[in-house]
Amino acid sequence: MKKIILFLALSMSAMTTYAGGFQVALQGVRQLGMGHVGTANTFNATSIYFNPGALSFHDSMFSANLGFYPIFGKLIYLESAPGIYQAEQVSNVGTPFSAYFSLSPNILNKKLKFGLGIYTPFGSSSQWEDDWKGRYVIQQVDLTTIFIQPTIAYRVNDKIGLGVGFVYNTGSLLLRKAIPLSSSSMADGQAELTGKGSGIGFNAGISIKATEKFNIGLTHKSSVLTKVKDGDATFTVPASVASNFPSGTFNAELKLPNITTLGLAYQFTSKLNIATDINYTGWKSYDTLKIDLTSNTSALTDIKNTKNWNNTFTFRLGAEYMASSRLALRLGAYYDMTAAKSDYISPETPDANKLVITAGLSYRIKAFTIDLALASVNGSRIERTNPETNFGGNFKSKAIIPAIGINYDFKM
Amino acid sequence: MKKYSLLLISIAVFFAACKPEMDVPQPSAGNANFSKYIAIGNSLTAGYADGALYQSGQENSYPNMLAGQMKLVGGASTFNTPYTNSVNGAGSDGSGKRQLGYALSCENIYSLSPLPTTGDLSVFAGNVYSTQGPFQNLGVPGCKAVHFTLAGYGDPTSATGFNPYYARFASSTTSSLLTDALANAPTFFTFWLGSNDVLFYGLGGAEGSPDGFGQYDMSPKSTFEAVISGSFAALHDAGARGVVANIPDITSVPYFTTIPWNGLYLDSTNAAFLSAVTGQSFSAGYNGFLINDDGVVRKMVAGELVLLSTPQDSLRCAFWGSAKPLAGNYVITQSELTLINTRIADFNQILADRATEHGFAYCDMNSYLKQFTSGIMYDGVRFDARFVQGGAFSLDGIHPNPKGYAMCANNFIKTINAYYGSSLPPVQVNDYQGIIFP
Repeated sequence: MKKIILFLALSMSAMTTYAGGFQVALQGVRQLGMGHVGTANTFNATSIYFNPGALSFHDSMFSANLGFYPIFGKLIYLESAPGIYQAEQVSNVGTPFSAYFSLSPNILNKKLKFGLGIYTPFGSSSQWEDDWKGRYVIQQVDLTTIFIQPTIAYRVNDKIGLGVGFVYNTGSLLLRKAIPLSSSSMADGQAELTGKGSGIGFNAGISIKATEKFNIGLTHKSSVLTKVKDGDATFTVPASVASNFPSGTFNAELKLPNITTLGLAYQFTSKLNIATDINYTGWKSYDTLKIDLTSNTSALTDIKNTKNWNNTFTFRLGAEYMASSRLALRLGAYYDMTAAKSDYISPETPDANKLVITAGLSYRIKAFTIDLALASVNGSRIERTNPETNFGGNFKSKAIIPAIGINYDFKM
Repeated sequence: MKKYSLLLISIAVFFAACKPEMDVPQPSAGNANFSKYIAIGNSLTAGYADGALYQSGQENSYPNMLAGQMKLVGGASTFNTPYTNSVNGAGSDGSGKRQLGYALSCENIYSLSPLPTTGDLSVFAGNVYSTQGPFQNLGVPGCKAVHFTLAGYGDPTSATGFNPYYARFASSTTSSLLTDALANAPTFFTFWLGSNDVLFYGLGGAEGSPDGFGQYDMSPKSTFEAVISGSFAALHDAGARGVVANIPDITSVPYFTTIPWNGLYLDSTNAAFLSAVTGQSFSAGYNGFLINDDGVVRKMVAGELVLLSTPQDSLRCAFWGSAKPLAGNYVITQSELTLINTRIADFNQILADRATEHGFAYCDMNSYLKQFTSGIMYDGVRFDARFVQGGAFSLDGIHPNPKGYAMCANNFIKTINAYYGSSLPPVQVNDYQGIIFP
């Protein structure tokens, strides 16, 4: 046992992570109050997201709508029985936002509307203690997407409106995890990937006023292939093995899924509107997360994660009651099915079935309306073990989202 | 004002409520009584690693880990180990623990290598029983099963042979490990003994007697069976219950698998030259090493093993394994390996039968350690049986490092829970030290 040359091939195991990401269905405060339903309704400029076709029925000249949705959420972990190890996320406060502006160039064409939407439809922010049990799987993930969507809507006649928006996504990615290599002064090595990316897509919709009381909406939001170019890959390991982990750049691809939605709304009385949305989200297209490192070694190979998602349905139901000409009250709920199949889980996607209860209200002062909403997200407890990392256990999430928004309508 | 504070309190309560909760299972002892746990075994039980018995290795012994978990379900608050209090400790060869460092090879290449530290022979000075005993960790490096009942195994003047690691903490010069075990009045034990009855024969290149009591001999089956039967009966009669772990295959540890049988790389000129000189057929590329198999010089064949004790500089630069055939003590041939494997299977059958007879749990470490050959994923980390980079074995290539010992502890826990209906929680493998790189 005199001298042994070491051929280090400490594989960077798959970047498959479980950090309980929140899919961010927070694109309108008014809609959030009623279960985030809004495809069949023609509320305000938020239709730029919910249904570009519905925008054509708006009666205001100029409209602006802003919303903020701070998420107070927590994911906790409990090792599988008979284990008793527990952990919880250090923090999970993300602040999705939305901003919409629409303009009706009445002088040109009464049937035409222009709009611009800026919103954050997907995102995840999750951090665990650096020395937690799952540190070699994930320590931190931050995924943000900002969709910028210029939109045009056209009212075909009194019953049918069409709209389409072009989507430009500018996003960022941060992944951090421990590398199982230690020295006398370093308990663990560290891998960190950070990068910015962009992608394009579209959002198209049709709005049908079937009867005076009954509205139908149908939309398709395309998938958005987001590419990260020249991100920074930084590896910190003991000096004697540093040549096996060269820091450098990386390219990555993330396919954000398409969403097809059917919405129905019925005006039961002059004061009560009840509406439903059914979303069908194409997570299946999002089957791999590819990370291409520019400097590869035998220890450091490209990362291609199998994810194996299912397409999912989300069922939404909401009601709005006009208590007075100024005050509106809302209630709603939705049920979000998990996209994770056969134990493949990851932070950028829904991981457990979630029941969300929402409530909201609006108060109008002249052309301004203040919107408030509150959503309570209850993830069901799941027990999973990822077959690639063999890391598993019980996970449960809960979140409260108090949202605030303001709407301005300018009518001639 | 009161109204506002009430509102603030409600908001605080409301947001506090958004923390999810899960019930944590309560560990239980099931049908086992862990109030007095003792660990019987060899170097693996003592926490020997990196070629030496040293303080932090002892602290990270699997019995210490088990005792820690048993504390959650009624185990004793103390579990006494005969600590060396020595940073580098002492190995059976007198040197201290091995550490990774840079060494210059005969080819003038610096590479990471396990380098021995200076041994601390004060480890063997005196006996600590009277000041620190009695001990519950009775792991003795080098101990064979056939030594377990040997009276005076800790007496340096003993005619039947003694073990300096036992002499350190034996209760008297006439005690045996069994009598020291029983003196603890144990309620629960782990018994992982018997590896050395085969392993040492392998470490000597299978040059010893296959039926003998010398250090590099394999223990005779009849003696092994008699000692196991007698010891298990004595433990059982004393009211103890426990778990018996079996003997791993020697091919499960890197010591026997790191140097490939066909590690002799030749270019066409050297191949032709060596063929002409030896009368054997060598070709360009990788060839089996040339060995001296009991007087017959021949090339090694697939399935045969070269020991990690083989000087690598001699392989590289001094024509060992080519112009100079490897001596038999560096090699295990196919027939020798068959003999070893048969004996392991026989011994494991005895351990299994006797454990069943006395109502003890049986932990199949042999199968468990075999899994490392193809690799085990644990919490995102891959462990396998390769030397150093496999992550589970220490720098001597035979003993696990603390992470590897933790995985053994968890395999014990799994077996104990299944047999005794207990729910001891597993230990956190990755919280233990692995290989330390410069």
